[in-house]
Amino acid sequence: MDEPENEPASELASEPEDEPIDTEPLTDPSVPYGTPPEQLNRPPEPARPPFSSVADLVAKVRSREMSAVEVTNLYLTRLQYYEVRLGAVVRITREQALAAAEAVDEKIRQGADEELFLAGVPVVVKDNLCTADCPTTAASKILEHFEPGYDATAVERLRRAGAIVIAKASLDEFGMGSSGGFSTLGSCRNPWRLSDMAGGSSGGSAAAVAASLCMLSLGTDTGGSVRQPASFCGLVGLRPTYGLVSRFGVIAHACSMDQVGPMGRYVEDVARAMQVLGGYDPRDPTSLAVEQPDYLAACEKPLVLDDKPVRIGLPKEAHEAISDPLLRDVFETAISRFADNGATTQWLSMPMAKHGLAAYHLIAAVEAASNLARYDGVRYGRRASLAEPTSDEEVLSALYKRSRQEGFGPEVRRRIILGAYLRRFGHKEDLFGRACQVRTLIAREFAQAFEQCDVLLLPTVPIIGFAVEDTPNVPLELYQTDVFTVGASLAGLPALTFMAGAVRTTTTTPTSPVGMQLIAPRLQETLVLRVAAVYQRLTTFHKLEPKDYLDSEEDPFGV
Amino acid sequence: MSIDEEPYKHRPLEKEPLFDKEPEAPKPPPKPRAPLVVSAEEVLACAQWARLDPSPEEVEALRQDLSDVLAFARSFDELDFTDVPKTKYGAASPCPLRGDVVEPQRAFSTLLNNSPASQDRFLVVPVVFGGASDNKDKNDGNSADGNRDGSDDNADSNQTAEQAD
Repeated sequence: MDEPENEPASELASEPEDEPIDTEPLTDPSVPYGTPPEQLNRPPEPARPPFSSVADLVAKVRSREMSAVEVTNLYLTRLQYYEVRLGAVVRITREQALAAAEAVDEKIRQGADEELFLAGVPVVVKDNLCTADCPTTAASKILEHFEPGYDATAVERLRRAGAIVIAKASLDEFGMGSSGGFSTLGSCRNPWRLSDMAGGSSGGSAAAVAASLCMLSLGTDTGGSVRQPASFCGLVGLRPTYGLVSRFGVIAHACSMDQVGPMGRYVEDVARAMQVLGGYDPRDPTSLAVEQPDYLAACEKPLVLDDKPVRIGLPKEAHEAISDPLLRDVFETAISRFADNGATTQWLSMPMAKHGLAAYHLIAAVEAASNLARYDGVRYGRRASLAEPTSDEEVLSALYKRSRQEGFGPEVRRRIILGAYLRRFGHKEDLFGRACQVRTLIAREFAQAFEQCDVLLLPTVPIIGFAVEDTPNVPLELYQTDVFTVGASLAGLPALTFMAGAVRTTTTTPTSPVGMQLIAPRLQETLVLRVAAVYQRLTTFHKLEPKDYLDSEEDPFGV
Repeated sequence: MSIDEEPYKHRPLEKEPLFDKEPEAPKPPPKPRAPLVVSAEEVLACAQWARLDPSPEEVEALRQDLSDVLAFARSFDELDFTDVPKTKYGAASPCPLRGDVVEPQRAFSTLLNNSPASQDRFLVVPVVFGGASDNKDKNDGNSADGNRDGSDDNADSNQTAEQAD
């Protein structure tokens, strides 16, 4: 920062202006969700992309069977067409994406494609990850015009591997929410069932992959924000060990738990993304300097560790907490699938886990209140226009208060106030301190569980999904959907959700995917990938495609 | 294995009759909320501290929401916290720190463009001096520094925007 300070003003003035950022507006935002296709006056429905996996796409682009520009155009067309129905993205970066694709093609033409592990792969990035070439809003009014001017490390690594960022995904404001409904930019729908929410907070990232608007996406997971929407949308979503993927360039929510995670349709796709994303980053002080394993190779291994069957632990309390018989059915079937195919399974008691939810929300609120104190309407972000102030002394205070009150949405304000309350009045009982102690107890309980098993299996979310109109408006009820995911967040463990089944309640309702979660000890991402990959080899659920978002509203199985 | 057969395993054919239309499930009665233990004054004090300006209705809603969360945390009472250390950080070793060296920064104009108002190489903020000083909140005075020294303020902005911590 010394540099600009020491330069004479004239030189600064002659510095070229930043290019205006060219982003395309979303397709007619005035068209409401659920508008029948015949009223939309739309072009013919785009075809499904002809790629069976990320590896297939990369091979086609690198062998020049298809150019990255062609691939990008194909996905941009889909994005433009279906976005109006899903609300999955907040900004389509068409020009930047096509320029990046052109550069990837050029590299391939020159034969410099050894590093292009994700050549031409269209990705959508959650809008709380900074991007150099377009604004980053965290779906908040307070950052509506924020242009970071740099890439988050995770985004930078994807781009370096040849991936093309085609859009920024919608999210709950600052990643705070479990529904996808707390965004200033509208809620995000589930492509499997448009009447349902996509989940949150990385709802847009999940919906975009599920509807084949991109091949991979990045989300962030604080208390389950990658796993929960990935589960609702029938995807594979990985929350890596805390510190494995750099948080540099992530707009902070709760620093001690925030983690960037990839989502994709298949386990191998997510493993391929991890191959690029993982690794030490000096710009993140919590980044782990550990050697990266071969995530892709792990996907091909059997359910055997050191010549012994993989031991899968099953938390009894999680099973008891499920009230939906369909969900229990999928859980039990998944258990028997693993047991029938070489793994050993055993029920474990994890009584501490039920305290995790309260501990998580207290800790996250305190950290969020601190992190969000930086938005004051002065240095960057939105500034409220002040009415005539009554006196000088009120000007600054009013400026801060009104900028923040107008800039933050209701859920964010609620969490800030809760965080402020815990720090100011919580001393009597030291609630925050006790929450931090519960965190220790939970980490210990996981450690004990991993003495008896190698990996834990439990549902990702205690429900199959919720309809938009049934989204709870009492915060505490909504928080309940995080009950199975916060444990791994508090303990900083790797956790992965995969599509373990599909259910529907009646013949006329669309199918809903059901996700199961695998939790492994620290830095054992390869283990969760391996176990989930075995499940994918045993079943065909991951090959099902949502159809509710299509013009021709067919159910995957027909009726 | 065919895609067509597999998912039917989980359909509740044997357990429940299939309906032509989704049955109208009776809505469960709303769950009782926790008794109010947070006063409006406390909420307003927090709002003042957190620099928010909630409406009277929002204050009432916040009292209930905070009371709910605090009641929820009552479950901690059944735990034994003797000799349990507090986990406050997510970081674990090895997390080496980077060297303390100056690295190239982003273009000054990019940083300045993110401020709500700027002129030349300075941030523009409303006039806050000239009358009675605000003793209630000391931080207000500090932040007003931006008025005098644009580049200092920008360094600060750079740090907050760049580093997730």
